[in-house]
Amino acid sequence: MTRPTSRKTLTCSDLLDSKLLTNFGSDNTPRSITGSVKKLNYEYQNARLCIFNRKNMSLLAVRNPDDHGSYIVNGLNSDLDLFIVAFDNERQYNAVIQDNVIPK
Amino acid sequence: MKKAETNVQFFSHLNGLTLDNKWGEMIRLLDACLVYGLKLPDISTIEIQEEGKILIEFKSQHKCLLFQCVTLSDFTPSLFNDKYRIIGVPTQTQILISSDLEKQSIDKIGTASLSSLDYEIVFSANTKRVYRAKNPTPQHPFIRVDESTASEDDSGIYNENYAKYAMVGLHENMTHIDDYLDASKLQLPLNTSDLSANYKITGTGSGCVRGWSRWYWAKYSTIQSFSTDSTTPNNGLRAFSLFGNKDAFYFSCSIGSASENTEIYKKLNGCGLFNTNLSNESIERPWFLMTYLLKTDASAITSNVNEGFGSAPLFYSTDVAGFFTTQISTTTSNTINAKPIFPDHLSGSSGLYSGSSSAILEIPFSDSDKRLRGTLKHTYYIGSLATIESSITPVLSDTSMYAFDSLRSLSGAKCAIAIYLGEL
Repeated sequence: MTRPTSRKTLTCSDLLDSKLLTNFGSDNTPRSITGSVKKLNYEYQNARLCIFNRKNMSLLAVRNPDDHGSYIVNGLNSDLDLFIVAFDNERQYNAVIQDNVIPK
Repeated sequence: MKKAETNVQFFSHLNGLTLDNKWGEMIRLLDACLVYGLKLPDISTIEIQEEGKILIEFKSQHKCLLFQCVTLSDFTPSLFNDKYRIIGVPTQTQILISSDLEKQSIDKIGTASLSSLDYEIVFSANTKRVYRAKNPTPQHPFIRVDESTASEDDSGIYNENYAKYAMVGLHENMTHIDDYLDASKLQLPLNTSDLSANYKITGTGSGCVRGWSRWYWAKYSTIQSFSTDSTTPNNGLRAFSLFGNKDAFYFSCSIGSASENTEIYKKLNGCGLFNTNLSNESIERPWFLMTYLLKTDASAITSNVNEGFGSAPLFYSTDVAGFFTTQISTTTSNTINAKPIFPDHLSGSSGLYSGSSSAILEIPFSDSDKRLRGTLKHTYYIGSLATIESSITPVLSDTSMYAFDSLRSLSGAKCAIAIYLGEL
């Protein structure tokens, strides 16, 4: 008759700048970046993505792509100017940079 | 294209709603937030962008906060008439809302309002209301809010210049507005030897005893200091938040005027359902009530917080942090104490888990019969440092939307609880 009483811990952001949790930029609108990682034109998930703040070169987040090689980083804002470095964990290929990324 | 969840809503004095040292203010506020919603200014333009985002420009300042819910009505085509989450506040006259609508033309522009919490008024009189969730289940309580200042026969009179509070109780099976004298019907709070205890007014002057479960919105001096109810409160607008949904809602208020309370800290009240750990077939009415349970007269020196069990729900100390619930019993029984289970009484301030950017923990509770009952809806303990700068602060943790409500605990401690609003 009695279900277990839960004591959930809710989702936590893994962004390395905790100020972004309440700072939504000058237009007060949370934004995100999305993209995908490919190796030889196939979706690739064994990569490591590092998202940097271009203004001060600080690391904002480190992620893995999902099963389809896609990634999404939420909780950003439109004032941010970012670049992303993607590393091949299998060390077959050189790292790749995507520069001038603005969250939308 | 995903539409952001709209189940839980919040309101604040920052929206332009007012609560002053006057009678009628609580009922007026509950009518707006629970039932009717708050109409926003006329819309000048509306534009559907990519991914279902809709930009609305108003003719004057909207005073909306990020992550509040907005209801559109009187639009053509009619599929626009729905409830939406605000996911951007680009300017003081613009909001961005989240929908799953394709780009299309709008034939007629209607109106927008901050969405109500989806209650209706079941019974109404000049100084009283009974509210209940729309489309209720038998579990949903009738919520009686009474601002009367004199007894029926005028033998008990509460001076209108004294502290302002509503007498608030939960009931079942109400058939009329004063249906609280039937011993077979459960109430919260309930004293089986005095069924009218919660709404009784006896005596006059400073010896008047008015009610039992008290939701104060105006009392003399700052939130943590002591005063009598018979001392006239200062005039001025109070800081407050009201949040939840049709299952349960909470109301936090600074009680002293915002100008004398230069801090924005408030005291928490609340009522409705909690997440019970018993099955749906159980006889339990899973109701909780956060309130000031006092039987003192108007001359008694009391504090807004720190006045015995349940006087500052979720804060201060083990007893003071408590609240009240129904007893699980085969007969209609007296109200019993509820004790929240959480790491400390300094939610948002102790930083026990300050290593996390957001450490949000559900709050279960037990009762004085040593039963583990379940968990509170909407309200969560914050283990990270909340860094409160405002009365209520929108927070986004990955895709989880929150509002952190600043509340009073020990002197100087900047505390807050997290209201979980749903997923973006």
